[in-house]
Amino acid sequence: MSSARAERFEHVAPLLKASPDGYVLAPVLVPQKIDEQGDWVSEETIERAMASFARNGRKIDLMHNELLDEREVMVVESYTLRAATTIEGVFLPRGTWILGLQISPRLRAAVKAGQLSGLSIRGNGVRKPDPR
Amino acid sequence: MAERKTFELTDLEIVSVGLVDRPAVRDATFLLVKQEALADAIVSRLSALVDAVNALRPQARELARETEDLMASLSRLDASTRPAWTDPVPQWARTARLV
Repeated sequence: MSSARAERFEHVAPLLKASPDGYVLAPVLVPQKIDEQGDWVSEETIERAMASFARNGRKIDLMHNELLDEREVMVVESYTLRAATTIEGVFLPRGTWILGLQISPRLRAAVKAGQLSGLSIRGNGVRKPDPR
Repeated sequence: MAERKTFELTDLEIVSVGLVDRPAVRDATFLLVKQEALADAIVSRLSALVDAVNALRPQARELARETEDLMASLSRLDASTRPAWTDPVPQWARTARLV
């Protein structure tokens, strides 16, 4: 593949917290963390990616197959960490994008059963060979 | 041991965030990458074919022109100059001779 063309990508992060009342929390993107495909993102890129998520209507889907409406899921938090912190025993560096969702009983049951265990971003981007 | 190749992702435009089953999505990601590579290969081959067809067009036009000239020459030939066996024989007459 070429070095700097726009392409689709997916990046998966585990759910950190899933409370019985349907609140789930996950770090969507962690700066400088190399994923399974060998990709990493900078703090600045994460800030802009989070803004694009808002600009595109804060869409949440199920397994990237089914777009969910507000009866199923609602974005209640979307922010980047201004300082490193630890959530549920997991260390997260400054610049991590955190997403908090309120989900329906149907989705809550799937999370509880382990059928849903993470958040995955879907979009377009440019993939450049690492100069480091 | 060979060092793992890494890539920086930039200019991310997020279409959606999915609630997923992590192992299943990892498989899907792999499939997506493979499909994309296959699609690239098909597009590349199709482009090469289109180029080849375009390169043949002048020759095809020339052949068509030569064929038209030959047909015109044939139609100008006097029927008397043709050998007798080239005259059309009605089907019934041919059948009668064979019997």
